[in-house]
Amino acid sequence: MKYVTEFRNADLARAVSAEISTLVDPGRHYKLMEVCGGHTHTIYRHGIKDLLPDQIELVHGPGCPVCVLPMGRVDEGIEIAERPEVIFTCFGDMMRVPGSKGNLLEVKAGGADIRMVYSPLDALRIARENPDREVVFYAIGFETTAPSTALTLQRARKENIQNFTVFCNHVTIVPPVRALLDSPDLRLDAFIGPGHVSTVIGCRPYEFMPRDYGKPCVVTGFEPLDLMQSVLMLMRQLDEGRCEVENQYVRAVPWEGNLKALRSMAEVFELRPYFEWRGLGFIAQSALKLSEAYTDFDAELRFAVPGVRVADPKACQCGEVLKGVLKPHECRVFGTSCTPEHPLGALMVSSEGACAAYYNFGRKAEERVGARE
Amino acid sequence: MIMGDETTPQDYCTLDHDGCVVCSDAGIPVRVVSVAGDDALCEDAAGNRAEIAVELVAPVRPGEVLLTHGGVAIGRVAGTDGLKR
Repeated sequence: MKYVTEFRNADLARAVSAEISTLVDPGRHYKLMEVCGGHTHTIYRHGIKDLLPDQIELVHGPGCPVCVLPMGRVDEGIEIAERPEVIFTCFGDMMRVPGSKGNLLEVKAGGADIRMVYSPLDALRIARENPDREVVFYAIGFETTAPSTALTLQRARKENIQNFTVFCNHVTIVPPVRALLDSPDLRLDAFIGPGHVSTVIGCRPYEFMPRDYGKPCVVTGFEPLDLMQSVLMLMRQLDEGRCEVENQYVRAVPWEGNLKALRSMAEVFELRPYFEWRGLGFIAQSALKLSEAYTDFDAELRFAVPGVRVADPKACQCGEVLKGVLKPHECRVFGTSCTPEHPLGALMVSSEGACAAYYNFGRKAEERVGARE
Repeated sequence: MIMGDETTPQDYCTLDHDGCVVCSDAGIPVRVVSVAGDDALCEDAAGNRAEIAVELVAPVRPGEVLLTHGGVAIGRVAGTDGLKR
């Protein structure tokens, strides 16, 4: 059984690694940020760091939607889930995200009807099968996931299903990247752009990075060789003094994105004036809510969600890690009071969270380096 | 969802092991087996089968390789055998 083995070829990886080394200025330190949590996961799982020269540092960005969700939104989801008339549905990773008084898994253990689904369409099916109950879907994710919520709501409207609502926490990728670039304590040389978000939105939205901030961006796939090739493309740009958006992931990303998906999203969603991001604060027009035409399906309206803000635990340094200011292991609670089994911060919850990925894979690499020294 | 019984290799992104579904990492290549209206029966690299909504990439034909996320096809995998077996 094989799956894109050509993108995991060790000989090719070594050849790309050697070519990258020839482009490195020994006196310079390069910081490349991968925006997407999936890239973080691939980097640690496949030891990409070990294939790169010491001068190249990979910085982990805010690309995990579970990790950037503020605690108040988790609490509000839990409040809806605890209502006796509600069947609450969500993706698996959401179940363990800590709110201020616990997580959805604990609320489920306490008797709430909370069900894990793989797709919002599964939530809609549950609504069809339980017409006497209110079925709520906890929608979360970047532009990769938003089309599936949009399509589900279009189907719900077409079928006139009235006991189905969505608690919308979808976010968009460009505003937080812009906020990062505006952050004074950040120094980056280039961006490894998200692959599957770009399947939907295309490459054009990243053109502000070279134009306004002088940072190259390469939209990148998720296999180890995708990452290696992307680093090579960025190093070539830096070496040649070019600064542009390039598409490494051409097999899945059309330059203009998926227009049908974008149209579906435009019908169902509209931009929120602002939204809170864990560690990054409030960012203007960085999240989606249901459009006027779909207010009947808006759980925030049906259940009068108050919009409460809850501060993160003081010891948690997820914000600094999200901005790339701290490495996961430099957080004061990493691996001690915050572990994947008992996460304190959201970055330790999701398998794509920088801290969880580092805990599961990166630590071992550090130990190997330590042993060699 | 209709899932296979066999153990899925952890390194492979498949319909029953795709890491965190909300992350943009979870784009799973699947091959279309048959099409019925807005849905298609699709199969991943490990042989897992699932009904996938295909409105956003329509029209699709059996044999094509789609990129799916959360039960919905969001794109195509072009120019490669994105799904070898």
